[in-house]
This record gives sequence, structure tokens and C-alpha cells, in this order.
Amino acid sequence: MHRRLSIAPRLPLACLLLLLAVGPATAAAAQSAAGEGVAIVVHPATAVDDLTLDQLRRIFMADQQFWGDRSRITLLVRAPAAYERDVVLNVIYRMSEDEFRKYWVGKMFRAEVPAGPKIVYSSEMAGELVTVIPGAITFVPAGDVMPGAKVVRINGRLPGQAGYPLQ
Amino acid sequence: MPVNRMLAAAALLAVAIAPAAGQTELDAPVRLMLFSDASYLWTERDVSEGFSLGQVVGHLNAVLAPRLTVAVEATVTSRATGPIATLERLILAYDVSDALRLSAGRFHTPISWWNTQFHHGLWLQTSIARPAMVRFGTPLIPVHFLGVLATGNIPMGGSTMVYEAGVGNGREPNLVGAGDAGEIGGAPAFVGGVRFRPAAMPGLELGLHGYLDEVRADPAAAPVDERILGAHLAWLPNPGVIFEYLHFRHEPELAGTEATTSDALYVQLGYKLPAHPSLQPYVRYESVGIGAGDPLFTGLGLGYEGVIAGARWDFADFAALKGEARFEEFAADERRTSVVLNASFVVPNLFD
Repeated sequence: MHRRLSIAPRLPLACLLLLLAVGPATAAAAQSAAGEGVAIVVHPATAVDDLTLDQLRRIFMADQQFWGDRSRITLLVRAPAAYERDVVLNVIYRMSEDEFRKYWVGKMFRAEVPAGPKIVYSSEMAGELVTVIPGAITFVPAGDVMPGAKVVRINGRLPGQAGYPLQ
Repeated sequence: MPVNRMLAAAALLAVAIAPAAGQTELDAPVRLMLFSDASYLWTERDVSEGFSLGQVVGHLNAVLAPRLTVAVEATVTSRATGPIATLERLILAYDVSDALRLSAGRFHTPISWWNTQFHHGLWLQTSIARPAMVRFGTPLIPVHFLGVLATGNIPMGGSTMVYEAGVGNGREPNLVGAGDAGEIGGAPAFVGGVRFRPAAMPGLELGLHGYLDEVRADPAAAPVDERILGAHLAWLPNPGVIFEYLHFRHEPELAGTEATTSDALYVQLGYKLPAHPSLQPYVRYESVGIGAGDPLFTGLGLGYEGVIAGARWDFADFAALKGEARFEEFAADERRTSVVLNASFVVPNLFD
């Protein structure tokens, strides 16, 4: 009984110490991901090396549905609750999650697009599909870009470079 | 309308069997959506009160070839005499490029922003009621258009210009028809418009539209030249603003007669509460003024002025509850109050 009483007051202290130990590490990981930025990756055969942010926005909004060689663009979008999706919604779409959903329902409803984006559930899935679907374009955290992937410059800059817009 | 019903039945059948086709390959070429809603109405108007089912709307979008797509929209409307199936849209489209899409079929006439933006997708629109100028069954505008349409997106710097240009069957004698029975007047109808989305203000769209037709509402009378001009401003970020204006000019092809004009407009404001963005109060003012002696609209009771106020609550990702109070004055009638509650949803099949 006496021992229990002596341990109980220490539990909050232990939790506090745990939070102090884990908290900075979690924050550091988030800062690291945010610092890397989000890379735009296209199918290796797509004849695009550089896009402006406005062009990228037109593609992601489906105002542009074809590449210059007239092949159809296939958009791969990460499922919700991912850092890279938040960046794309904030910087490219400038929409909340519900606005994003309604935007695509509306595009489909008006028959402006034959399909909405394909949803991917991990960076690996995005990286693999973008290499096998002709005309595909996707986004992944810059640190998760697979070797050999074709990363597109945005406004002439690659992830990690000063002024890269998808940070 | 047996042909129309057969087409609608075929479309619904296609909707029913399509999922199997869509799962056959990685790039599933078939997408489906289903919209519907239900309402409760209390009103001072002389119309039926109580619970009612909205339309059940089925959408099918399919890729037939890399540049060839088809879109089908069919509805089932619950009526006292039984359900009515209707083929609303059937569009076969070929994408030459982003700047040119050629389509043929039955469209939502691009003469009004609301008419093409929301139409049967009640969940998409903030309010329960459509504005009077585009209400279902209104003879004010040709809600549907049967013919061919060219559309395209043209980049202008970071901005986008969208155009539409089409030719098709004119209005039927009852004005509400979409020309399904063919071109009655002998002269085709033309529709066109441009929309501009400036890069500097994402979410803003400005547009101008026009519609030209020769209408024979009364086979015994002279045909009437119809010109409809429209303008819209849609600002969708929060707070949202939608404004539309339509101007109608009707001139009988008869010596000694003059043209008459009529007008319709609405402005709607909506605001998502910052602390509760799923909750959106809204208010709309609208009016329809019919010119004295209008050869097409006189006697149809189209004059209208109304204010609606309501709130939309998106309680789930694809479902919403809406409550709306309406204060309306119809033609020479007194002002009437109505209260409507509505639940709407969409079953999306957007994403793989």
C-alpha cells in the first residue's frame, strides 16, 4: 500500500518526461517532412521537365487534361491525412477537404472529366503507379521519391531549392 | 414520350450493370454517381404539403476510347400518378484537345450558370430551391438542349477562358421541351458563351451567354424571334456569392409588331462559419419581371419576387441537411411563406 502511494505521484511526472522526450522528436520529423517539400513526379515517358505553378494548377484542376503529345493526363492523389496532400490542397487547389470533394463531384456531374483522380494510399503506391500508367502525374514527399523517378521542376526549381513553391 | 422512357430505362440499366465493366482493368473506364434527396414542406401556398421524395438521379461517365467519352444522366421522379423515368442528358464527346471538345446529344443548356453547374445535383447546390429563372418546368429558359456543342479551355497566362458554342433544335411549342420532337420552327437554335477564371482570384468565374431561337409557341401565330442574354458572377470561396442575370427579348415576325423584353435575376450569399465550416447560412434574393404583352411569357404566371434564407449542414462527407424559409410573391398573388427541410446526398464513385 505504502509502495503504491509512492509510485502514483510519479506517474504524471513519468508521462511528462515521456512527452518531453517524444514531443520534440515528432515535431522534428514533421519539420523535416515540411522542409523537404513535395515533389511532382510524372510517368518517365512524359515529355515534360518543367511546369509553372499555374500550369500545375490547371493540370490538377483538370482544366488541362492532355499533355503536349495529346496523351491523356491521369492524376494520382494521395488519400487524406497526409502531409503532401495538405500541401497540394493548400498551394495548388487552395481548397479545404470538403471543397476538394465537392469540386470533383461537380466536375464529374458536369461531364467535364470522365473520371476523378485515382487515389493512392502511400508514397510507394504513388511512385509505382506513376511509372506504369502512361500520362500519370502525382506528388510525394521529396524524401520519398523513388530512384529513377522523373521529378518535374516547378517554376524552374526542384524540391529543396530556394523558392520551390510546394514546401 | 415512349422513346424517351426507353432511353431512360436503357440508361438506368447501364448504370446498374456498369460496375462490373469498370473493374476489369486498372484504368477502370466507367464511373457512376447517384444523387437523391427528400424534403418536408410547410407552406401558405396552395400546393401539397408534407414529405416528398426528390429525384433519384443516376450518372454514368465512361471512356469509350482514349479521346471518346460518354455521359448519361437519367432521373426517376416520384409523382402522385407513379414514378416517371426521364433521360436528362446523353452526351457523346470527342476531345480534340483541351481547347476543343466536340459533343453531340442532349445537354444542360449553357445559358445559365446554375443550370449547368448544379442542375439535378441538389446536394451540390447550397440552397434547397433552384432560382426561379432555372426552376424545373419553367418556360423561361430552355433547360435542356438537343444538338451539338463545341467547348474548350484556353489558358490565358495563369487564367483560364472557357467557351461554349452550339447549334440544335429550338424550343417546342410548350416552351419547356428540349426539342426532342425535332426542330419545329424550321430554323435551328444557337447557344454560346464565354467564362473567365482569373488566376489572381481563384474561385471567381465571370461569364456571358447568349441563346437565339425562332419559337412557334402557337402554331397559328407568327413565329417569335427569341434572344436571351445572360451574365453571371460566381465567387465560390468563403463567403460565397453567386449572381446571375438574364435578359429576354421576344419579337414576333409580323409587320408592325415591336419587341418586348423581360428580365430575371438572383443574388445569393453564403457563409461557412469559421468555427463550424460544415454549417453554412445563406440568403438569396430573386426576381422575374415579365414585360407587358410578351408574346411567349404573358399569361404563364411567371412574375416572381422572393427572398429565401436558410442554412446547410454538411453532417457527412457526401450528405447534407438543409432548412430554408421562403418569402415569395407569385405574379399578382400575395406574399406567401414556406418552410422546407431537406436531406440530400450523393453516392460518389469518383476515385479508385
